[in-house]
Amino acid sequence: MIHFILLISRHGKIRCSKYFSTYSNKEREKLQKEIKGLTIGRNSKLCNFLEYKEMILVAKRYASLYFVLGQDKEENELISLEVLQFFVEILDKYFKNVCELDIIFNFHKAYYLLDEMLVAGHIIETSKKQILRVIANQDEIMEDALVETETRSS
Amino acid sequence: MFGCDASFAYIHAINSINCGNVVCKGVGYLTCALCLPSESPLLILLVANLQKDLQSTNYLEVSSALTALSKLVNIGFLHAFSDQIIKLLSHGVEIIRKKAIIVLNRFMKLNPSLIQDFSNHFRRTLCDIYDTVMAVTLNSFAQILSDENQLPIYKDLISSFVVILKQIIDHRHHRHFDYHRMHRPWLQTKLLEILGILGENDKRASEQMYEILSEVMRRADDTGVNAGYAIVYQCLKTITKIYPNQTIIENAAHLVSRLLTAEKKNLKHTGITGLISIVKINPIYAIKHQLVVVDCLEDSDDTLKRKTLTLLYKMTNTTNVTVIIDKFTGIIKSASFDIHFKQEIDGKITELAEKFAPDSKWYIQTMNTMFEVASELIKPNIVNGLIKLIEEWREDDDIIEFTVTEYSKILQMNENIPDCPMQVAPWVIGEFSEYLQSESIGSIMDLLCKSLFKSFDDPTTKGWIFTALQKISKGVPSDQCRDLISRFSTSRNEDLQQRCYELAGTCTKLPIQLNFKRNFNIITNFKFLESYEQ
Repeated sequence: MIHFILLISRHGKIRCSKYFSTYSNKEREKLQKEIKGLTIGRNSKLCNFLEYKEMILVAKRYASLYFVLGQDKEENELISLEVLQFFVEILDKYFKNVCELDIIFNFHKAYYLLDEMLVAGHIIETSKKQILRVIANQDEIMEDALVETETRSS
Repeated sequence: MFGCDASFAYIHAINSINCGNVVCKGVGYLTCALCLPSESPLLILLVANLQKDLQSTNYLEVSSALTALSKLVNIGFLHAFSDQIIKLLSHGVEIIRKKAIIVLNRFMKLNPSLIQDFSNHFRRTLCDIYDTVMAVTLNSFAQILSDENQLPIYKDLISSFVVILKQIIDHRHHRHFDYHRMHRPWLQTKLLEILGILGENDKRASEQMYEILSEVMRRADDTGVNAGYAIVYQCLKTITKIYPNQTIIENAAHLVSRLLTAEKKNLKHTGITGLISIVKINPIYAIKHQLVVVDCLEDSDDTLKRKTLTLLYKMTNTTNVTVIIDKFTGIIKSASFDIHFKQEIDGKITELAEKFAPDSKWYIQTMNTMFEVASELIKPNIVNGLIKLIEEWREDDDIIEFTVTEYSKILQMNENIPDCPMQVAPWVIGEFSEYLQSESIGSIMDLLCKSLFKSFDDPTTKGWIFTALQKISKGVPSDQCRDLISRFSTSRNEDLQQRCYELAGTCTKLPIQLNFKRNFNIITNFKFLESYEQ
C-alpha cells in the first residue's frame, strides 16, 4: 500500500501531505526532513525510485513541486509513478493549467481530489471523468450551502 | 501544515463537524483526518458524529465521514462501526460502496480476525454492476490473500479473475478508463498481483493463467508508454512467482533483456529487478547480461547500484564468490552509502562467506578483513559462530596453525583493535598456544597485557583476554601476571575480578605447569543423583 504522499516545493516547504499509515507528529517531522534531503536537488536523469528505510520512495518533479510517494517494497514502482502522473493530470484538469499557487490557495480542494482518488493507501478511482464529476457535484452543493448561509445572515 | 503545531484548533475542527452545514462538516472531517494523532482521546468525541453522518441521506456527508473514518479508526472503536459499514455496502450511490469497501479493508488490517466475517461481502461486491466497485474489492482480496491460510478458499476465483482480465485487454470497459492508451492499467496490475499470489507453488492454478499472461504481456508491450511498462513489470513479477513454464519464462527473459538495454534509468532498474526474480528460477539468464550488469554497478545512480548489488548477492555460487565478496568489501570501504545499507551488505557477506567459502583459510582471511573494515557493523553472534567453526577444525593442524598465525599477526600489527577481533584473537591464541613459536609467546603476552589497559565498547572483551592469559601462562606465575592480579583484583567489573582471582588461584596454588587437555565426557546419565530425588 501507499504510506504517504508529500508535495514539496523547491525550497523545501511542504505544500500538501497525506499519510495513510499512522505516524506520530515527531515521526512525521523526521520523515519529512529526511525525504526533503533525499529528493530536492536530485538529478532528473537518475532513477525515480529511492530506497528509504523499509519503503521505496517514488519521487518526480513537476514544474516547481516534488511529488513524493512512499510505498511498500513489494508494490509495483512503475505503477506508483503513474499514480503521481494521474494525480497531476487531475489537478491540471480541475484547476485548468495548475501551478503551485493553485495548490497553496486551494489546498482543501487538492485534498478533496486526493481523497477521491486514494483512500487508505489504495487507488479507488481511475477515471478522471468520474472524479471530476464527483468533485463538481460536491462544489455545487457547497456553493449552495454557502449562498444559503449568506442570505440567512444578511 | 506549514510545520506549526495546531493542537489548539483540534477541538474547533471537531465542533465544526457537529454543525449542520455540509461545508463546515467537510472541512472539519478533512482537518481531523489530516491532523489528529491516532491515539488522541479527542477521537472518542467523533464516534457519535461519525455514526450519525454514516446514516445521513446526503451522500456527501456519508462520503466525507467514510474518508475520515478510514484514517482515524483505531482498534479501540472499530466494532462500533462494522455493522453500519456493512449496510453501506449496498448503498445506492457507488462512491459510498467503494469507500465502504476500503474502510472494511482498513478494519481488516487493524484486526485480522475480521477477515472471515467480511469475505462473503467481498465476494458479493466483486460481482457489482459498477465495475469500479469490483476494482476496489480486488484490493481487499489482495490483502486477504497475503495471509497464507486463506489461499485455498479463494482458488475458485482464479477463473473469474482471468475472465475480468480478458475483458480488460479487449477494451470492453468504458472508454473513460483509458489512461495514456492503456486500458485500466491499475486494474490490470492488481489482477496480475492477485493471480501471482494464487498461482504460487500450485501447478493446476498456474496452468489457468499462462495464456492470459502472455496475452497481457503482448498487448502491454506494444505501446511503449510507461503504464505499459508497469503492466509488463507486473507480469514479470507474476510469472516468476507462479509455477514455472518454459515458454512463458522464455518470454519473460526476453522482456528482461529489452528492459535492461533501454535508455531510461527507470526501465534499467526494472530490468535488474526482473533479472533478480528470474535468476532465482534459472541462473543461466544472468550470464547473458553480464556486461550490462557490470555497467549498472559502475553507474552514477545510487538506486541502480543497490539493486545490482542485490542481484550479485542472489547470483553468488562457489565459482564467483571471491569476486563478489571483494566487490562487497569495496562497497563497505567506500564512503558513498549510508549505514543501514552497509549493515545489510555486511550481513550478506557473512552469509555468503559461510555458504560458499571455497576453503577454510579463505574464510578466516575474509572474516578478518571484515573485522578490520566494518567493525562497528558486525553483529555480536558472529563471534560465537566463528569460534564454533574454528572449534570444528580442531583436528586439522594445518588450518589451526594458519589461524593462529593470522590472529597473532593481527595482534602484532594493529594498534587499535576493535571488540570482535579482540575477542576471537585471544581465544584462538589461548586455546592453541602450542602452535605458536616460543619466542613470540612472550611478545604476545605483552601485547595482551597492554590491551587490558585500553578501553573497549564491550565489557566482556577484557574477560576474554584474561582467560587467554590464564591459558597461555599455564599456571606458571610470571611478573606480568602478578602485576595484573594486583591491578585488577579491585576492578569494578565483577566478571573481571572473578577471572583475576582464578588467575591468582592457578598461578599460586599449583606447583607444576598445567597441561590443558580437552577431555569432555558429557554426562547424560544422572543416576548418581537419584538418591536425592523425591
